[in-house]
Amino acid sequence: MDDDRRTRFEAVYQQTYEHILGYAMRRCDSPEDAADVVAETFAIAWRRMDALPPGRASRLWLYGVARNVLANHRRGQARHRNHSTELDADLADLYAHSPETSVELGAIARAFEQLSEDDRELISLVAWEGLDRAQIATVLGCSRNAVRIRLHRARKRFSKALAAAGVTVNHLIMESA
Amino acid sequence: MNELQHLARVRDEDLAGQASGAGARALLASITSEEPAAEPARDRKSVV
Repeated sequence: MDDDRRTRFEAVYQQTYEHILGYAMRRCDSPEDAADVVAETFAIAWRRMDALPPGRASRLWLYGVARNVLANHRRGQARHRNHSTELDADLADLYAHSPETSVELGAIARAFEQLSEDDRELISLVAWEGLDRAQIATVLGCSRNAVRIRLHRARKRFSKALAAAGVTVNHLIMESA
Repeated sequence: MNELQHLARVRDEDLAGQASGAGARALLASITSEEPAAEPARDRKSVV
């Protein structure tokens, strides 16, 4: 085994695990699904260390991998890894202690759910992962201008859905830095 | 406050320390115990 490879992977893993775990948890309804996404994302990174960029760019690269893993998971094409009991226990505990938001923010949540998967992902990358347009372009593998246009359209559709639900939108952050 | 953040099940800040938890360590050990097979260079979009 290449010790340099392992050392580099472990460093990236330590730096990004919580970001990828958060990404998966925010998009998966069950701890089992989130565990699948996290496990498969890092397994791919281990197999593809040659493509994994150094430094902070690794987080964006891993978001892109996690996004593809999640899409495959939703299509029922994902690999289901045999999770360790420790990982399953960690995720079950985190889900058990997640705040319930559906009552307090029900109207916003319903409007958000009405959006297409692509629109939700764009808005989520801004609001949840805190990414700017250039970073989103890296994650999605498209140009910054394409992100600007797609985000603008997604925001318009979300605003329209919110307005239809009677929600005032001026306090919602939907713009990239 | 960003109201959309309240829709998120969890924030990254809430997960501080998870990387050193039992689940993360077990996953890391499991992944790195496998010898990574050589794969042809591919675009990221096609990796999964």
